[in-house]
Amino acid sequence: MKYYNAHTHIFTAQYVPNNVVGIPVMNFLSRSPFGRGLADFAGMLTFGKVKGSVERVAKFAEIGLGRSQEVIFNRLQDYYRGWGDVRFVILMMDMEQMGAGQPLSNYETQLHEIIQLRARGNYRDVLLPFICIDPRRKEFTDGAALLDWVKPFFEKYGFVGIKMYPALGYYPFDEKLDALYGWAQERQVPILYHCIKGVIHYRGPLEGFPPPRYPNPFHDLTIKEQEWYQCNFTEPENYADVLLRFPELKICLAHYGGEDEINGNGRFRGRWYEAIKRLITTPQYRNVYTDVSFSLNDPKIFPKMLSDIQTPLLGERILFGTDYYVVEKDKDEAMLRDELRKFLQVNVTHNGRTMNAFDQIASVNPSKFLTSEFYTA
Amino acid sequence: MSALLEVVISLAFIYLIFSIIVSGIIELWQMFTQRRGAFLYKALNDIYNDPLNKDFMFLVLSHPLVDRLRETDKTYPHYIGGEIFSDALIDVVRSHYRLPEYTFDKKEKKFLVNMPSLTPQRDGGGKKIVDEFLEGVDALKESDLKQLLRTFAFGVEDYAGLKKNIMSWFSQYMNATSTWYKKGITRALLIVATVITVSFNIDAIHITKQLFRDKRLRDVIVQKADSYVQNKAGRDSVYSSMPDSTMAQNVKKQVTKIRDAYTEAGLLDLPIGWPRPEGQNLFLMFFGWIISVSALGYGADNWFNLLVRLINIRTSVKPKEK
Repeated sequence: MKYYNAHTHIFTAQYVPNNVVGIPVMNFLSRSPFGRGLADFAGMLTFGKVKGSVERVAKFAEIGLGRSQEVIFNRLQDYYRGWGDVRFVILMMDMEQMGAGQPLSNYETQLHEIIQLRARGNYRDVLLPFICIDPRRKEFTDGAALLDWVKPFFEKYGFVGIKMYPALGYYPFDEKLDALYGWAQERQVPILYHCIKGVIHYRGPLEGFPPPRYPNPFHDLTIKEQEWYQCNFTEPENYADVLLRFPELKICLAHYGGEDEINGNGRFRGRWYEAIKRLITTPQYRNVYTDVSFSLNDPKIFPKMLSDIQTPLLGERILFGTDYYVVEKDKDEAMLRDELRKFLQVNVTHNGRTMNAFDQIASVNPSKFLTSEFYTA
Repeated sequence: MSALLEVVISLAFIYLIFSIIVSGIIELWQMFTQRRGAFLYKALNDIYNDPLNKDFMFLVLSHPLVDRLRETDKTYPHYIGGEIFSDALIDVVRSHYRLPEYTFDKKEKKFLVNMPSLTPQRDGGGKKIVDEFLEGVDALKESDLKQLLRTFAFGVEDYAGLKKNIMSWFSQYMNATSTWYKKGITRALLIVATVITVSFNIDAIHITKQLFRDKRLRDVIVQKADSYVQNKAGRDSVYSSMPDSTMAQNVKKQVTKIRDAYTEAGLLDLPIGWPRPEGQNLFLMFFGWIISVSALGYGADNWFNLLVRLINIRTSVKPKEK
């Protein structure tokens, strides 16, 4: 059986603007002996409670500071050596428009590196890249220019899907994306959207954005804190707007709303989680998915997740993903993977086919999600 | 005349010894902070990381010719030779725009890769590589880097000519970089010099006075300086010594150098250290320290060169005096 981890990252810190993660801090934590000393010191002061957290952040930093995407990918593959045939959706990240300065190396270099890397060794069939699109790039003068830029990556360079990260400062219903949506819908190219409140978000001035289209009773839409303003872009209802015009579009609203939303104790009291479920189960939208990446670091969501996987329709649209290596700062990849797999050893039946819940989300569902005119899972 | 010259030689030797200690500490600091490699990287990155095109510095660093020069996965190479840099740069520029192409075989469910042919043809002087290099330059958007790369090919007939032009530019740029680097470490040099001066209470005024007063002390130091110059031992530079072995060996080398210089200084029985030597003026002590800090900042290389000249003068003056 082929397994898919449908949500991973291998971009190195050189592709992240310096004031997003603080590369000097990452360097300090992961490379200097003082960083390791700090972990021990923090552990001493807090009777070991903080030590693990500092060590995990140091590990996250160490991975991110890897000298190439290949090095990070090799580490990821190592986690799954015993699993047989495992393939990884690699989500590229274009962080040049997020108002946090320029990264050390530009996005074009990141793409170049991935295209070169896949030609070597045995990567080409296990490393499945999703190209990241930000409609604000200045070469995208209109939707047609954007589409012309994207096409060769599928037609020549073996990309499998599209990644979008609205929290970086744009709405998914940006009209420049319409031509791309039409093209992707026709070819069933999967689009994966970041759909959780996270630490990577737009950092620039908040003036000049069009007003949000959908109200959220638990969220002040005029809020001027960047940390919360990102929710205006990521709001799940924004995708309803896209789906209204492109009902056959194959999309994944990643992270399932986030563990706090799933547990019902987030700022939006579970509204994001419910909104995603509602979109998935709307009969006319046959291609809406979600993944459990990052959220799966909290085992408290597992019972609810299992119940959802057992639910007709919903259970066919949930994907296994971990959000490697971003999630490393909260939990070890091996632990995430094993805890979930162990919990989901329960049989579920969909379309007359019975299998364990984990295989359903890690093999059957991703195969459907990833298959397009350009790729067959 | 002789006494004055001997005092100057003694001072030059004393400051040479302490400058070696200072430069050794600076060298260790550079090793632990990977400062030299990072500076070399930054200097080249300023030119070859082209935001309008691609980060060619990263591509050159990832080229196996350069990548293998890293001591560890997490460090930049401490030193990149002009020849290696030129070969890697030419290869990166000639290939950057000819990426592998992929087609998906739906029947086999596998990607097939069509690799561009990048193996050089046996055409004698490598004219094809020059053509490919120029095509690679043409494929770039107009930028400072594109302009620089273009000039490397001016008047070039073959691969050797292209490589020679890049090496020549690289050599000149590295010389300039070396000067910037030395300027860049001046602050660190002054901090270490101050710490050493205060720790050892190196009061230039008091030492000078003592040297004028104490002929025996002068004779001992001059004799030591003489034999030191003859042996040419301890010659050092804060920059020119490129690491030629592992970090552990280099650290050992620097520690040995510092220890030897420290022992040498101890043998001289100098009027320095704590508690304050008898006769040291507390008010003048601070001025003496300032002079010493400036003197240590002058650098071991410079003190050594000055010492050699002074010893030569003394050797030529001595017979006439006799």
